[in-house]
Amino acid sequence: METVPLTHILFVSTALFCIGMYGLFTRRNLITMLMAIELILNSVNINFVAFNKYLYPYKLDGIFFVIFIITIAAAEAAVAIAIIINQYRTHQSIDVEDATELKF
Amino acid sequence: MIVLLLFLVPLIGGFLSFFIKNDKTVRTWALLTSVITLLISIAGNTFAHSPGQLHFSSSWLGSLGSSFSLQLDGLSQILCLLTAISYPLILVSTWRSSYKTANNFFALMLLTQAGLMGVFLATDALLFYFFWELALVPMYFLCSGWGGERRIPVTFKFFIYTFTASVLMLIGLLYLYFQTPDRSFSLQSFYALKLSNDTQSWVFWLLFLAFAVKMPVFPFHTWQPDTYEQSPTAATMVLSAIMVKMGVYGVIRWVLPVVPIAAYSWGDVVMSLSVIGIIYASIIAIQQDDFKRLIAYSSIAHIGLMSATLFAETKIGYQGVMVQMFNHGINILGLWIIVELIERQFGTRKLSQLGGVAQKAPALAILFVILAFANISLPLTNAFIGEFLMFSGIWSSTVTHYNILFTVLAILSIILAAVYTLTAVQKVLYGPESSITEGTKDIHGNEKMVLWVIVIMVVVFGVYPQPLLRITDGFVDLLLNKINVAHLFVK
Amino acid sequence: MLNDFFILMKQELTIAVIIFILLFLKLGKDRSNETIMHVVNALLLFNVIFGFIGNSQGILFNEMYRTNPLMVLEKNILSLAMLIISMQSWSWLKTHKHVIEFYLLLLSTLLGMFFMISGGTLLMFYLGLELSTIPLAAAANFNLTKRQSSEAAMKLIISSAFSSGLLLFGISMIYGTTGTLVFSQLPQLLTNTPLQIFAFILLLAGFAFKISVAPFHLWTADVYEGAPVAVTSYLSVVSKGAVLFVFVSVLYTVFKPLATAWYNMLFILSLLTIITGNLFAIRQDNFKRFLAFSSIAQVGFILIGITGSSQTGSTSVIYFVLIYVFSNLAAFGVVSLVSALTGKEKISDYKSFYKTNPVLSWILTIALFSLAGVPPTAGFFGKFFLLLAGASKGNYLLITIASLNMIISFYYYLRIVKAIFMDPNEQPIAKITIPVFPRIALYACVIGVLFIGLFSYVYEYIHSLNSPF
Repeated sequence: METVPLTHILFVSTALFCIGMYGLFTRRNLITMLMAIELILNSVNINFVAFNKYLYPYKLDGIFFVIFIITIAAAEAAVAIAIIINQYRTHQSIDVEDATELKF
Repeated sequence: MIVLLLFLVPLIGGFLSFFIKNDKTVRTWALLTSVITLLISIAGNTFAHSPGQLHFSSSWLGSLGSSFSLQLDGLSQILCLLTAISYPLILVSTWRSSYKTANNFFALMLLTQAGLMGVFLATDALLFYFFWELALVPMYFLCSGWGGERRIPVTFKFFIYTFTASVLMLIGLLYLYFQTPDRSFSLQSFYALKLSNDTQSWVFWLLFLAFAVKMPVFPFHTWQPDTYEQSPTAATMVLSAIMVKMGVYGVIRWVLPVVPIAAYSWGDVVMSLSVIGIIYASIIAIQQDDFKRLIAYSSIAHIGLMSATLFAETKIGYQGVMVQMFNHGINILGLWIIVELIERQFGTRKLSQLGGVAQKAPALAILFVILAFANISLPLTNAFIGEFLMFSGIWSSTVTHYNILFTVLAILSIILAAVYTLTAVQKVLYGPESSITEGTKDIHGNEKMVLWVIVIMVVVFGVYPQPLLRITDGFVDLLLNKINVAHLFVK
Repeated sequence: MLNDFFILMKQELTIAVIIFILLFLKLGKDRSNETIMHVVNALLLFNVIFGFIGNSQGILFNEMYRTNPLMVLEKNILSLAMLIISMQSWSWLKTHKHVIEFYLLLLSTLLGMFFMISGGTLLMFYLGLELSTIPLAAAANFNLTKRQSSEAAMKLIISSAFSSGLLLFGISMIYGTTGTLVFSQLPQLLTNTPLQIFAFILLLAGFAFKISVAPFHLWTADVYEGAPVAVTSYLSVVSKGAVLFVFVSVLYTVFKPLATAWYNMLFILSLLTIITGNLFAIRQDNFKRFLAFSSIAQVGFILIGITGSSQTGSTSVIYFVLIYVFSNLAAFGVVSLVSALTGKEKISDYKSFYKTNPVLSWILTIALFSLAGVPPTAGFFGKFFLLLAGASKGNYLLITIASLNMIISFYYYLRIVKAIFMDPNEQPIAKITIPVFPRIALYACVIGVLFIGLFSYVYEYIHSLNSPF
């Protein structure tokens, strides 16, 4: 069976990274922004797994790293959602445009 | 040990002053501290002459090649003596001025003194720069905290000028540091540097600008009259009597021997600027109606002569500079006291509003006239010695082709000084009484005593300047030696 | 092995034990805030003292964890800062409902920083970094009912998540090109390929976010202003200091092969940061915002020191962080007292502050002087050493622009000092009685600011711990 070359996978992950970036900068809903960040983190995960599998198959560093990233992303999301909920309490909105207390 | 005490006594005295709340006590404390400093300084000039007393060195930042080293040689001795003598005189003569939060005022005054002493003593570039800024900061606060109406913009100008210049100096010092083979900040290794001519040129300007602003030399002088005018009198005295000498000192200690070739090649430029400054400041002084500004401009003229002489590179000239640094400090102190007395009594410094003071206040008149003579550098006053030596120094200079022109122009300053000083004397002391001066009272007490002390010094050093000349004689030889060797090296 | 474990990780273990003690305190019966804070401060003091006893050097867990005397010192600096902040926030926490949680959050970030400093692989470094940022976002939200506080937390969590995304992408690229995550193996494998440079840029961007280097500084001012003062001071001193420590050591050891690349990047970033920080600091009226921008400018200066890439470079950075701890915490201490007791946070409120609060005014003045780099405070020496380190590469353009910026910074610091001492004000801030703990903390800071500079042993000691570049 012909394997998918590494470059293809890297292309996917980079595209995912860019989509995440784009989403983070254009979306105004905090939950969506959080999802964009998850996209970025997942692109990193794909990178790690791909590198590990294709280039350094005799070690497991990349795979381990992925597990940690997933765990931490979960923790980060938990805290972020708590903060977002609190912001909803104070602002009655989770739109960043409505967070206007702090400006130059 | 002496050398360490010279700087530690005012430093510690200053810090303690912050905590003395009582007005009378803090004044006494400040005076006591300054008198002790004076005694130490006299001791350093007379009997405590062993090298152990005059040098202090302890390791400080060894890994950077910096050490905490202080040294009291001829140049430092005369300037430390000036600082030490001036402070008691300043404190006594302004004893009657009242200050809000007096403890802070006197603490800052003493800290300035500590910084000044440090500048004059340090033989390590990092230490020197540290003290240089240490002296400026309290002065900034003195001017902006206790000054006149327009103090905020004026001190801001002062601050921008001096800090910009000292930052440039920092860059110059850092550059020199990285040129030393063993990465050392010590003066000796700076002296040992052999830089190329181009490098010397721009290092020269980086360093010289800082000192030129401080002195001030002609195009960099615009901060000075305003600052003198707006500062509280005690601070003005420190500024004009001692602080301007920091600039002269800096050139002698850190510029001439470090970059002798650049000093030689730019000498003409600096001398021209200085001479222009002399004439320019004198002419402006003639037109001044404000007594404080008049003295400020006259001070620019006097300092201009010193900076011109510095680049003439003659022994007789350097001796003149050394003596004149001391004498100018003493004389201008006396003049400021006169100004302060007049302002306090009549509530104005405008010469046009004064007149006829001599009849009611004969003692003031005599003292003022003697000080005015000293300001014009008439013979038998101390300034005559210094200025005469400097004129001869410029005249006999071999490093410039325009020595005769410079001398003639510089001597013109004496005539101009006579014009503005005597005009001021005449306007204040003689002529018809104005409505303000009707109830003139003569001086008494502290001010009288201080003025007599100053006048006695004026006359004594005018007749017998040898003690001062002896202090710096050895140093001048060494300095010339360093500069001349470098010149031979070029040829 | 077990012995090694206890000796080498003693600082991390102490913090972990303190966290557990606090958890048990939480489980037990309700205690008054003051009792809890006495206990916590005692524990933190113990932590600092214990940290200073003995140095250790070694490697654990296949180089996942390593320590040496320099790292021990860095952790001690952070512990000390933590203790000072804890004592300073006394007035604010005294009436707060969730004291223990506050400490739990801050202590877990401290633990994260310790692991980050000691991390021997990129994985460990990343874990430490996340542990040190996620709880901080929660802490920034600690004034639960305040709109500003929740906004600050939101901005902090989003930007820190984004920055760790960048960082991770960089790490994954580095892993791809070298095949290893271990710091000690990386230098041999980094060969300046374009992909590695690109990865490094991403990594640098991640770092730049955490230490708020322009143009990645946008979150800083908002978060500093919105968060409670204690958290703000923690963010600006401890969190930034920890990342800076790691940044220096990573650049100087791991990314040494890319030195020319990062030298140029840091050169531009440092100038940009100093100028941005200074220009924005001039126009601020909120004290916390002002300190935020001033701290951005300070970081710019630190970057100059880093460009020196020499033993002096890393020494001067660590030394500067130490000084920065004291001077910034002294300033924040005063601001936090005033804000807790009167609610005033504007610079214009501080006019004639000297009339009513002479002691606090002097402390604030000394702190600002140190931040500005005026002798004889330690800040002067800190800045001087940074410039010295920067000049060692012969880049005098950098030094000149930085020095000229020092003048601007002098200006805005002095503006505040002028307001405190000279500007008239009808209603100055009322007289504040300083509680015991903040008083001790403030005096400690002032002593640090005044004497660390003159007492050259500190610099020499740090210098002796740093290895040559």
